[in-house]
Amino acid sequence: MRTALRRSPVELPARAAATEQRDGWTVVLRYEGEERHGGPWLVDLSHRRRWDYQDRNVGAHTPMDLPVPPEFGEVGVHGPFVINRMNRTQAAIWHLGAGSPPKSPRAAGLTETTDGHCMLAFVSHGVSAALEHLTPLDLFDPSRATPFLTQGPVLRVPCQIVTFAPDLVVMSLARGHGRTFVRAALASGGVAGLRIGGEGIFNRRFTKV
Amino acid sequence: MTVGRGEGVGGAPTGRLTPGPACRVDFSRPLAFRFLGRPMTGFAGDTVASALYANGVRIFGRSLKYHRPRGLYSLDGESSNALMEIDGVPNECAETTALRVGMSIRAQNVRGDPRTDRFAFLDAFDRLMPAGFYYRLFHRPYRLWPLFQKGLRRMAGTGVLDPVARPGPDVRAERYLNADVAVVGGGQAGMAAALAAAESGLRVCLFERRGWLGGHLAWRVREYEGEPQYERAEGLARRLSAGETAAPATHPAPAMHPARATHPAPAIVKVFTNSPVTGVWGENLVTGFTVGGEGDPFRECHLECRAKAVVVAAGCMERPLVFNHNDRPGVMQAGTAWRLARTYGVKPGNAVVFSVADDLSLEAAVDLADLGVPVQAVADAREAGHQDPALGAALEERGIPFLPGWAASRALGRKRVTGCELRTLRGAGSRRLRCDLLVANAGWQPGIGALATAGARLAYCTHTHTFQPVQLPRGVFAAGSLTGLRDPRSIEASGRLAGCRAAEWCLGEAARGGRWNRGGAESRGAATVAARATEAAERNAESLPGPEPGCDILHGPGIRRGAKAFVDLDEDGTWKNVVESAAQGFDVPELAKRFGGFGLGPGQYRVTGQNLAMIMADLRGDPLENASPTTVRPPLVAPSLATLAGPGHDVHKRTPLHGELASRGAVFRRAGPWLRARHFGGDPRHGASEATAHRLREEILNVRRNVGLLDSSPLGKFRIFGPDALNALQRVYISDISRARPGRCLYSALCNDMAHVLDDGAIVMDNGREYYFTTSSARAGSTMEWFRYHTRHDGWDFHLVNVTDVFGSINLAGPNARRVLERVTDDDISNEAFPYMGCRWITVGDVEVRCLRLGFVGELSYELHVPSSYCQFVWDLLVAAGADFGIQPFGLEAQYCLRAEKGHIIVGAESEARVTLTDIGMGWLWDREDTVSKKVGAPALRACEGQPGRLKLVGLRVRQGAGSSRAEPGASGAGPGSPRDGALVLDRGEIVGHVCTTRYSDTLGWQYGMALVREEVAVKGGRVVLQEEDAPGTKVICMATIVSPPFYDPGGERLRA
Amino acid sequence: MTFRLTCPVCGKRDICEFTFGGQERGPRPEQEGLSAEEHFRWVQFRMIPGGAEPAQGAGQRGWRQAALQQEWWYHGQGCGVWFRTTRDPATNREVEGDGGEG
Repeated sequence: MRTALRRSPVELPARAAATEQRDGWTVVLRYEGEERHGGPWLVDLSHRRRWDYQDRNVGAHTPMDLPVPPEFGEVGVHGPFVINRMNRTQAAIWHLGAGSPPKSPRAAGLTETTDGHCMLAFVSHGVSAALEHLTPLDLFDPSRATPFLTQGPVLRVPCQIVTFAPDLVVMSLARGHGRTFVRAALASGGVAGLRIGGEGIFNRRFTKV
Repeated sequence: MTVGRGEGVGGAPTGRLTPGPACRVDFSRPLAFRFLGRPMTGFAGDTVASALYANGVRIFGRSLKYHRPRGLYSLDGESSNALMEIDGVPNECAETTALRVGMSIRAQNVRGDPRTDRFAFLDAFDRLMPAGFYYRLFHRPYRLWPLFQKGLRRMAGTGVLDPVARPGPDVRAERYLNADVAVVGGGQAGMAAALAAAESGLRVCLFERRGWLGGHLAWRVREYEGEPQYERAEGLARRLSAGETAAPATHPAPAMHPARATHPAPAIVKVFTNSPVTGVWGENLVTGFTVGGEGDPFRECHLECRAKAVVVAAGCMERPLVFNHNDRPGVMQAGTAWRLARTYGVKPGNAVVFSVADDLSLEAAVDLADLGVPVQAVADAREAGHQDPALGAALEERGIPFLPGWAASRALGRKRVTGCELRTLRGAGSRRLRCDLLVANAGWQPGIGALATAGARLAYCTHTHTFQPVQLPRGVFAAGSLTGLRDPRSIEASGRLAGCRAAEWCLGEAARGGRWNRGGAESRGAATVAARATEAAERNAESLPGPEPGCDILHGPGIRRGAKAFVDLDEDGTWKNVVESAAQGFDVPELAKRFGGFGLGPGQYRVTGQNLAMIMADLRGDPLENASPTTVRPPLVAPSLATLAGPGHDVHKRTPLHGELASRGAVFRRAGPWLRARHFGGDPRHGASEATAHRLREEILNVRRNVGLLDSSPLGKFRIFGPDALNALQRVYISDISRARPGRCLYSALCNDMAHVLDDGAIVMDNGREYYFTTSSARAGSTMEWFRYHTRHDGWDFHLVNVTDVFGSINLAGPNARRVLERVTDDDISNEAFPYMGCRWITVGDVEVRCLRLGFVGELSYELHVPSSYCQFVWDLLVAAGADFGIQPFGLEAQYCLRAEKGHIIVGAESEARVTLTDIGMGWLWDREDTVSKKVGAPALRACEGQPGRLKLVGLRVRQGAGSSRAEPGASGAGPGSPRDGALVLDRGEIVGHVCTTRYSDTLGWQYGMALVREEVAVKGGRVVLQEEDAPGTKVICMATIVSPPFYDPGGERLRA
Repeated sequence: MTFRLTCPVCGKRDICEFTFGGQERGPRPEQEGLSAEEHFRWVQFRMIPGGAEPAQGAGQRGWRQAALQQEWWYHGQGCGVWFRTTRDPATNREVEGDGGEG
């Protein structure tokens, strides 16, 4: 039987220069010519694993050994994992670090949602200006301590957005929107120089978080 | 976005003045352009207006009603005089549009050359066109009105839009800003306010409509405190940009934002030039747009800035002096003449007379004289003359006659100014002077637009003789010359004060805000610091000169009824028209505005507003302090409609199989947020309806006889779990969900409080505390909202996960479906192991797939819920396995027909807001014994039971139209002459209902339908008439017999096979 | 016209992110013995904020004086939470301090 191949919800209009097979996905590490400009870059992270965790007392739990942050909108970074407190009963877990993806544990309240989302990273200086062309949300509110979570519309599509730093933002949105969202983001963000980048760009930046 | 400075670059070309230090035109970069086909040359930094003026163009266009010649009056787009057609785009403002090489410019509202317009004779008939004439004339007899309207439209109006022309590719962007303080106006006060606010560590955005900062300082060379004013402006601008580029680490960590040490904001003050503000809205949302210049990647960019506080420092503009022929080309604002010379290096005239009423205009006269522009005389409408004695001395020094208490009463010359008449305001003194430029104003009026849209209350101030804000909305502050200040030191101090107050307001908000503004204690500390800064700024502002007295002149001396003295240039509204309007009873500005059209043109209130209010108060005999301004409406400056429309991205959802379907020739259509495959093959919109119908029939028959594949991924899919999951399902679904068992699909429906059916779907129990359910694709988006809304008072412990996008869905349907599926899985899927309405997990090529055996299309079918990223992989396996059987994909249209043959309803097609669950024959779903769950819709179902006169869903066998095999997708019947969806149902000539769906079926060999009809008609075997208007006036009538669905496989053997 | 609402989870957000859920009218009535009249009254009837009668001598402005109402809103574009807020529909201003979660 053939190996099961997985497809990302987005197809970036650029030629891959280096790819890697991982967990069924074809991951583009580098695109041709991406080093020719200094960013900001848009990186597809849809292959990274994600989980939804819900419980009435979500704050008292440690799903996958990760403590759920106490405040709404808080984000915890634990090694390769990021855990976002979404509301009273809900948290999201993202595997963003390099390395092999973890298996999905069976636990009450945990739902793997990797295939339900398109995940995108915005990396490098100039990200804030590029995002101003996409959303009215205040993703760089200086009164909030980074990293922090914002839930709201980007290009009128509901998104979960984590601001790690002024040069690193990761967002997750419904998979179905992926392709047209990316096209619109590159067109609108292109005004501020947004271009396509490979996973390597994100990996190098995320290790510093 | 800043315009290059032409300082010292080359000498002046012919017709231009030697560039001074405030000149913004680069004479080393000539730009060739055309005006009415005539080649002309301008320079980088010119606007279209300054370039035309430099090339000797004096008549820019013709006026709306009288076709009077009009010239350059302002430089900031305050009237429609300089609206022109540029490169085929009408109504572009020549005053604010930067000159580009190769531009082709035409005048508007003219026949031929504006110098010799064919409709110019209309000016002589002005008596036939009094105020509101188009409301009173031409309407009787009414049948002739369209004729008059056509004529009027041809003669009056502005630009002409070419309906065929397509504008070239241009990018319209949008940008959303979040700021603490938004500053409207980048003059001295605006810059001081922005700097003061930024000192408190706040995020500041500053919007300036011109291409550079500095306001009226930008072209003034007069020295204040040992520094020329343009240098003062440049110094402030430098400090702003220094803040912008300061490395975040070196910027002092402000007390308010303890988080900033780890999260430095990239910029402190964001400065937007070429960016007029269009309005200030609720909760301090400031909107505007940036006009893209050289190097900008967009033509225009819509701006939206959400701020906590707004400082309005929009400055002043000139109040026009109303006198006879004040619209003649050659009459212009003092600022226009001054800036032509200083900013653009254009000599405004060879003999200039001033009739003004303020010190700044006197300074302009002195400066123009210094630039070598001969100034003949300066009349000043203020009896007392100048405020600043130095200006009087300067005029005297240059030998310019100064006439306090005098004003212009008439401009002479037919097509352009050749002279003027000056008179004393009291007494009979009069003198005529030859000139080619008459600089006229009645002093200054504030730019109240942004304040007015913000909701400030404005009142007439008898000291400054302007409208002044008397009550400001929360978080809105006013500063600068619009508050009546004239001394540059006072203006700057007022800006600083407003900036401090805005900062204090923001910090106060933060301290009050509690949870949503973290760091309350820090912000309280910062607020105290800011309060001290405000106090200091207040003391400083108080020590400086306050607002200077203004001038209350209403119109030039000796105005008479016959005068053509314009109050409104755009709409050709004269002083005489205002008098007429008042005489007709429209004697308050708001009424006169509607009746006479004053201020309705592109210039809005700017030229007209204050004069209209003052003249009307005078005509009514009211004191001036009772004068009230007309409402100012956004947009204050008009962006193009394309900019408001925005980039127009179509962001929609696509299924994981979209690319696959597209490669198979799918024709897509939007269904809610999704793009879905309607059918495969020819598109009826391109005249291939026969081919499409053929393909559609093939798709249907392949499912009935063989096996088909449908991408049903948009189907809503949800996981619900928790101790109260069952309670929530019982509340929302109308059936008894406790009957759900693992491995079985339970079909149910969902109603609203009026018992209208909203949705149906399958519910599967995974274990006692966990269920999986599907919704129609249309309901997927609102399911979470619906569940949570109807349980919001209960405090139940249940959790919903929307897994709609996690799983794609592939329907494998047809008599050969099992044979195909057997080839791709090792699991036992025999009819015994996996019966109808069963639910199993099966493995398809290593992929775990949830498989539901449902029968929406009326055949043996499997719904495979496949993780989205694997959908293509699983689809490929199925297609390969089914190749021998001739497996083919089918689309929504085929599914629609297949399910209708089976009598399965689609919510919205066979149900509507007048019918309940029971009415459409699905009452069997309702668990009527259950009152404990408080099922949504149950009380209404009970109330409607046995109610007479309700509509019921019935099946139809349509008798005519059979035999034609044409079945068009979409709104298809059996071809021309047969009824379609929506046809009326008649019984003995009375309308008793309507057809929901009707199609010709190749499977059945006859045309079936479903209709909602009145209960008394809904008798099996009854005969009704179907009627519809094919085209207006032509009725299609045919007979139908009432039958009961399903039409196909009534016993359901095929589903269970 | 634009205003914002304070989501108890996400803070102040633009009105376009929310869906209106109507006035607060209490929990669903018990269905045992519920008459059709009572049911439809609960479903369809709404209170006029500040009462139906205009304040004495206040003319048309009367109803604006005490026009607060408790409302449900859903933050559909954000956190997906139903919450209650007290608002003056005449001025669109929220009363600070409310923000109960559903």
